[in-house]
Amino acid sequence: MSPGRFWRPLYQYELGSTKPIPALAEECLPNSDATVWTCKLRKNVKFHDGTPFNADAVIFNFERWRFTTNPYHYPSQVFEYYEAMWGGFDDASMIKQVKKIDDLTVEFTLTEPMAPFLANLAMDMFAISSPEAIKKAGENYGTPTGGCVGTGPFKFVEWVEGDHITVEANADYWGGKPKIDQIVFRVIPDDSARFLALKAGDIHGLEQAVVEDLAAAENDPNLYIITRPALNTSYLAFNYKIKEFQDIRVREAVAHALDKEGLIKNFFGKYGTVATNLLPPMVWGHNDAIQDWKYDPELSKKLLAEAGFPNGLSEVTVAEDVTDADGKVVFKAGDKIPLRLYYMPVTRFYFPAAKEIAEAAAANLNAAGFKVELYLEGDWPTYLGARREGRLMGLYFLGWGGDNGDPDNFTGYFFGGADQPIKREGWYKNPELAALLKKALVTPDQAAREQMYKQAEQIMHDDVMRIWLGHNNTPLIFSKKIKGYGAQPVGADYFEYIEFVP
Amino acid sequence: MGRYILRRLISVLPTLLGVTFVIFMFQRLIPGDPAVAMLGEHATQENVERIREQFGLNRPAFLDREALHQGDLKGFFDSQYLRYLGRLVQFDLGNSIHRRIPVTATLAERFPATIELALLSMLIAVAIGLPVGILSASRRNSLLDGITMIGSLIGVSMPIFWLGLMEIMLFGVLLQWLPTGGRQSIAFNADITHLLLVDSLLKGNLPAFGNALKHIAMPAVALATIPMAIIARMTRSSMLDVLQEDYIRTAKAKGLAQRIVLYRHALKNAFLPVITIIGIQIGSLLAGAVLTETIFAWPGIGKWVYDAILARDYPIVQGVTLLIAIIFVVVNLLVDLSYALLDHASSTIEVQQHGRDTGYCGRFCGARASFVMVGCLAAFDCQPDGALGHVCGGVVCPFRCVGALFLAV
Repeated sequence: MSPGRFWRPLYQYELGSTKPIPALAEECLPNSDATVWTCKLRKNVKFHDGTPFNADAVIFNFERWRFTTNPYHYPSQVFEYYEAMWGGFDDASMIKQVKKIDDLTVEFTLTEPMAPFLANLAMDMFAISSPEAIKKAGENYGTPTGGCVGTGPFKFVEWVEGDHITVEANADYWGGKPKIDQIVFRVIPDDSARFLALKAGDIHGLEQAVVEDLAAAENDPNLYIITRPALNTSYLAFNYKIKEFQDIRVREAVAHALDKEGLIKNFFGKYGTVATNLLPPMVWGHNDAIQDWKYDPELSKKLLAEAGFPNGLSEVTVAEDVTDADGKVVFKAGDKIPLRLYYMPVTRFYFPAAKEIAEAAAANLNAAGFKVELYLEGDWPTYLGARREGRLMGLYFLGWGGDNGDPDNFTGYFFGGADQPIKREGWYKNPELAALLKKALVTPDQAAREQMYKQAEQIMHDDVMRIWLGHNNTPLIFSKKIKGYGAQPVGADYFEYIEFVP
Repeated sequence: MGRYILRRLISVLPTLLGVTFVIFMFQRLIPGDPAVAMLGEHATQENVERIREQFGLNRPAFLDREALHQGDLKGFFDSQYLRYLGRLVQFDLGNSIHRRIPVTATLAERFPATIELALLSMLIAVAIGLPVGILSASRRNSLLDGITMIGSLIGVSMPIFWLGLMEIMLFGVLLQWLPTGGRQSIAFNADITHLLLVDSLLKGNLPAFGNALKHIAMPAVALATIPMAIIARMTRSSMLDVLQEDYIRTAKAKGLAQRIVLYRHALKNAFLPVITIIGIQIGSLLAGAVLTETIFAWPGIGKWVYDAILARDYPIVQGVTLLIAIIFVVVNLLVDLSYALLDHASSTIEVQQHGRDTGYCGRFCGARASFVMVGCLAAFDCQPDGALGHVCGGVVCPFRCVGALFLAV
């Protein structure tokens, strides 16, 4: 749970969706080729410390993020999202210039057209902080000791690391004073203890509920469940350095072997939906026309036989050398290895029961002519590291939660570089897809972009490049004493509409 | 004596250096990169590279042989480990990779939470385990003995996460007597030393003290269960051994009351192995209790270092393990020093006194069973003529010794 909306960006997402709407900016308008955006700023806004919000404050923040030579660009503060969303720091930044036109107008000049400009601008990471507060707190800004000062509906009070964060209402909030005076965010690491704290009335709401507790909450007259709309996708990926997976018939056999309906129903419960696209249905560019692969183990066996494995597939061949981070060869070309199904060592919001799902999927695959070995690569950082280096050598589970609701943040992020084999994406290569995604990124017209992303989905589907499993609507449980919690698909939830009902 | 102490103090340094080296090496043997762990699924190659550079993770762990080949001597020594040691001699444990705040700052907040919980748990464990053990030894094979021993067997094998959840269910949810987790309600702010029980008393803030006590009650009881059961079983078996000794038979034959035989003659000898156990338990509780801290949302060092290991937050892991190592090294040092002192003391104490034996406490505590005695010595003047000598009869002394340890640690 993000610490309480201390800040606001220039744009923000509409309640319950990913549509960018004005926040600290009254509006941002592009020129004809979307390379220059002019933003009118909101009048009479003050930061929590009394510093006025104006063009200078906006420029101060963007320069702090961008320039590695800026005195307030502390390397320890990382700013990885500026680097990821705007192409890099310093001269690599796609934002070439932020210019003050007058006190309440700024102009962003981009190096090239950038279609998701507003969606990026609305990310929490680009919320505007008080320049005075940053100067005062220095390197400690944004930590438990340094606190933070924004323009949002709540002010920072206290952060005791690993224990709680306290925020209080900002009476001068430009969107109107919040309805509650104080919120305390507590850290309760144990799932069951967290639910019991809710039942005891020690807390009024929680996230990361487990399946059993959700069932109990449904039957509890004092509790209710809301869901955060699914901006995530879980999937089963192929490593294309395995020779057998380079044959589309083998990949199709995997697709037909999985009982996706059953997997989702049993392990995601009623909060999950079956995925047919990489893009979740709430993101524009989602292609409804795609027909999912039918669950048909017999067809899988037939496809395997056609591909040259009439007796099924239990052992696979390494097509090319695979190295680890130190350059040591860990899989040698020509090596025979058992067919592995790597499962995630942790539960993620897009993957509620990682090991159980993997076991069920293994049973599906084994019933369709495969013989897979369930494989645990290590703990979460180890797993992510192996995936980055393209050495999860087999089938592997993973997922993705979007950052800003723009389709590029899904499809483009994954496969924009597919003109060469992408190590991180299991060495997948598809120049046609890459060219399409690159074009979609710089096309200003949203209707045209939508068509391109739909087409991209079709290309991915036709190539059976990956099996999309599900989208998970993340459930949150609340006490009936609380209403109006604004669960957001991305970024910080909205707390200013929360009401206390005694 | 002075030379001995000096020699011991100097020999501590290589030990601690060895500890830092081992921690450092083992951490880096675990695969997985802190930068990847921090950035998760979203990491781009540039992000990862940059964070590795910031935290010096791109440098070799110990020595840079490549730099040496190029004749770059400064580069040869510019390794992660030597950078770490360089900061360490300035008492800088570095910053958490994830949270960016200094490890020492969080340690100052979290270690007191662990101390408070560990010591209260030990107090409960000793206060119940010890009398229960004595009682069942004195009534061996009685119904009481049977019940307490089965009870302690259950206690030893109790899964803490289950017990903790049952406590929360009963006292937190059904009866609503106690809060389900945390250290204190947010409304109270009685923080001075981060030992909330002590702080609220220092400020004379009784409601805050009561609130903190309510919060610590369930985790302390849950954490006390296993040591309590171990102490009870150890006390019992040790008492039974001693009760079969000849001198006990002699004491009984002299017509001494059962109570006197039990407490004055048997217990003081039976107590030595028990003290060893208590010492070991305290040491391990001070290293943090991951399960209890997790279930009761107790912000101590156990859960913190556990999360840090999973996140590959090296500076935290290094800092906390070093702290624990220092605790053990220091305690061992004190034990050794106390041996040196007590060898001298014990030779001057007459052993064969009965009744209110002023030499009893010094001799008893000096029996080099474990470092618990160090607590006695540090907290009280435990010499025969010291203040404690006057109250050193019966079981008072062992309890005082343990109590003293709580203050001393």
